[in-house]
Amino acid sequence: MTIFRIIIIGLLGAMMGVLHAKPFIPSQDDQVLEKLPLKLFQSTTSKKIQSLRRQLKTNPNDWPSVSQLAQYYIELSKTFADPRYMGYAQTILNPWLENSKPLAQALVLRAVIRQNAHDFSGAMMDLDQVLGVQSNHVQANLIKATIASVQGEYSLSIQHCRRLMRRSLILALVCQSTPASLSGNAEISYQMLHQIMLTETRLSKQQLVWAWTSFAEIAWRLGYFEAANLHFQTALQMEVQDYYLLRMYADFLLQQRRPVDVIRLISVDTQNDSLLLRLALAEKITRSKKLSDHVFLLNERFLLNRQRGSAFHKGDEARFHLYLLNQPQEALKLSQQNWRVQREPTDTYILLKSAIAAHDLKTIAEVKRWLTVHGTEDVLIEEILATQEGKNNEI
Amino acid sequence: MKSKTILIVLMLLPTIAWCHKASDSFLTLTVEKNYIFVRWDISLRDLEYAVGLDVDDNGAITWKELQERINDIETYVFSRLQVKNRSGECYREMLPLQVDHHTDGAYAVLNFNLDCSSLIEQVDVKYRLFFDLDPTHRGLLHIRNNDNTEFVVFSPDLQQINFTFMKSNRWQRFRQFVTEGVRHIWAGYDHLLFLICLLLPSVARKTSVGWVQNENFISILWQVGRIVTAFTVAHSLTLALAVLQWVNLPSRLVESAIAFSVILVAINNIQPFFREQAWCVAFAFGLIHGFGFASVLDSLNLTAGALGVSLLGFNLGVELGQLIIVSIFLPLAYFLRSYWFYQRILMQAGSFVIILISTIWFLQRAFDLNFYQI
Repeated sequence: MTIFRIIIIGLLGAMMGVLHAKPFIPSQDDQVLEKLPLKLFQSTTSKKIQSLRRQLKTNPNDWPSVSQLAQYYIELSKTFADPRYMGYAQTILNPWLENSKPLAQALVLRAVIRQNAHDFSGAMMDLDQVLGVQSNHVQANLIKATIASVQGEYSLSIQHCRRLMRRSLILALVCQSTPASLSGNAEISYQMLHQIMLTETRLSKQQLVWAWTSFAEIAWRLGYFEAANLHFQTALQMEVQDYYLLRMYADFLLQQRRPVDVIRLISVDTQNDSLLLRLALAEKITRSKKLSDHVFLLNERFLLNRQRGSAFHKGDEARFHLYLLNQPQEALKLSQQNWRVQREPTDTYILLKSAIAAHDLKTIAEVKRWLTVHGTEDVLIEEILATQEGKNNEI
Repeated sequence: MKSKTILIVLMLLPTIAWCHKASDSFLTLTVEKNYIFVRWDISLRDLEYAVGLDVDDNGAITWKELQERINDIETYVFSRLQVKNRSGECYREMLPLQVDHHTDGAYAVLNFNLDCSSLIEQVDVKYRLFFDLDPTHRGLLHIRNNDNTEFVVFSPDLQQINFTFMKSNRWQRFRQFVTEGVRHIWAGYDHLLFLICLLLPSVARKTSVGWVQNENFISILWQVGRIVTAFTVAHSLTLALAVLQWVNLPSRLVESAIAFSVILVAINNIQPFFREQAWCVAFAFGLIHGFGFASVLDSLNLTAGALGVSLLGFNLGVELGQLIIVSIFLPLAYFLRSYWFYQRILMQAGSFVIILISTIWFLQRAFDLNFYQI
């Protein structure tokens, strides 16, 4: 019997009372119950959304308004990492997807929504329908390249990145840097990005964040830690709310044994499960008093996600089980399920670490084979395999 | 042009997981005779989108605004939830509106009773709140009837469900808890070791003049009976106190004290320091072991209605398990007591091993150490 588990469960039980306060009747009329981040931080967007909603009530068949509103919702879902906005977008798009020849843009938007619900095959179907008619469709190619790269289909990904060349050489090069770096061309990709990023002026702020983040990740995998740190910092200085960047930088800091910086980076944002997980991992290293509260919160969120059938971030859940609950078998199960759906480097790390912790040699061999086939160069994977410990870094 | 830039941005992220908690409402129905007591927690942010709560449009929802909008909220949500008894519609009586903080923000708590005028045997629930706005919304329903709790998640694909209630089978539940009790005493090595260590000296013990065997079977029986009874009375007492939540001790303290009790009685077998008072020791530490049992019972999904039956069943199960062990132990010990094996190996070496194990337990539990990790 694992005593650690008993203590954790005991702690969780004890805290139930604290976090689930009883329902109450507020004593003062002007007591603020909830703040609406959309109105507070994005008042322009909020006003535009309100006016678009009003417009659509009087004229529901106006596609430009529908498309614009859907894009706002998708953008907000990204900004706040909040799935309900994706739901709103899906709802207003649905009537436009019911006829036999939906508009390309409607299909692309649905592909984005499906991609975010981790319905990759659904998204691919929408994209193929668009690409069947317009093979050089920029957005469709870019999303398809992204999904292919996430799934470890690097040559397919590169192929679709290249179709962007005629429209934007830079976009195409940044797009292909990630899949190329994961399939045997890490150093070349890095040098190429280096050239581009030094002189680049044509990308938007958001595109720059994306490019610098990709750049940082490639540097990290090559073991250029100082450069990676600088690139992450440059991306952060764009001051664009980007959860993917925060997630990756937090992972980088954890791997670099800089838990205090992780806490400084995330500290207040406990609404976001992925960031909360990284915060808790850092707190475990610093032995913070807040750790038990955060472990409880995470446990509850993962449980709820399972109950409602939206346990999408199984990679994170696996890390939670491996590092915070010390349950390697459960972690292995989850990271295997996760790897069947997506194969980003972080997905591979947790699978390897769980397999090592659970002494599953077959899985280790299978992952190694896969990495060799693709010629993936990654100092982190080398480090994980070299130590065969599985517990030195909480990434 | 603007829309194009946005779209490009959207696709740059490899994977945005659903990081934030999604939209859920929590619906709890408690069915009792003719009534259904309902608590329904709905996120203020969802209500803001569907009905509009921020009357003064300043980005903050106050208690006053929520109260002002309650009629519209009720009209909206009750047109999307239907709870029916088999014999027909139930009459709704609203109770005061409340607020609760969940991990992702404030929720309106709608409390109401449904009077269904006849004994409820079948409940039909139809739920479609927010599905027309947000297909990722889910309705999480808990429905309780006596000791049964059912859990269902409503989604656009599952908007209706019905429950048939059978008369709760107390006997089945009782048997289930007896089994749990037996299983727990057998699987909980610490309780077992404690008891066996206490019983070992009843047939043969070390004294100042060497090993003394107890020849009188009746006297052995009497001693064993006293120890087992004292242990049983004590842990039944604290088990009940803890389950009824009259007394609550931190589990770390309880678990450490249990490990400590094993160390103590094992030492006593090598270097005796209590003899006739063994039953007092059994009683004193039995009180602590009772709290240990209670933590197990906690995890077994107790419901208020069936508390008595479950507690009794679990307790009897523990006693039954204990009795079986004693009835195997006693003849065996009686038969072996004069042999060197019993005195040297079982009593001496065995006790040393037990001290070692329980000391590790104690250190793990008291100082939160994890030996197997190192």
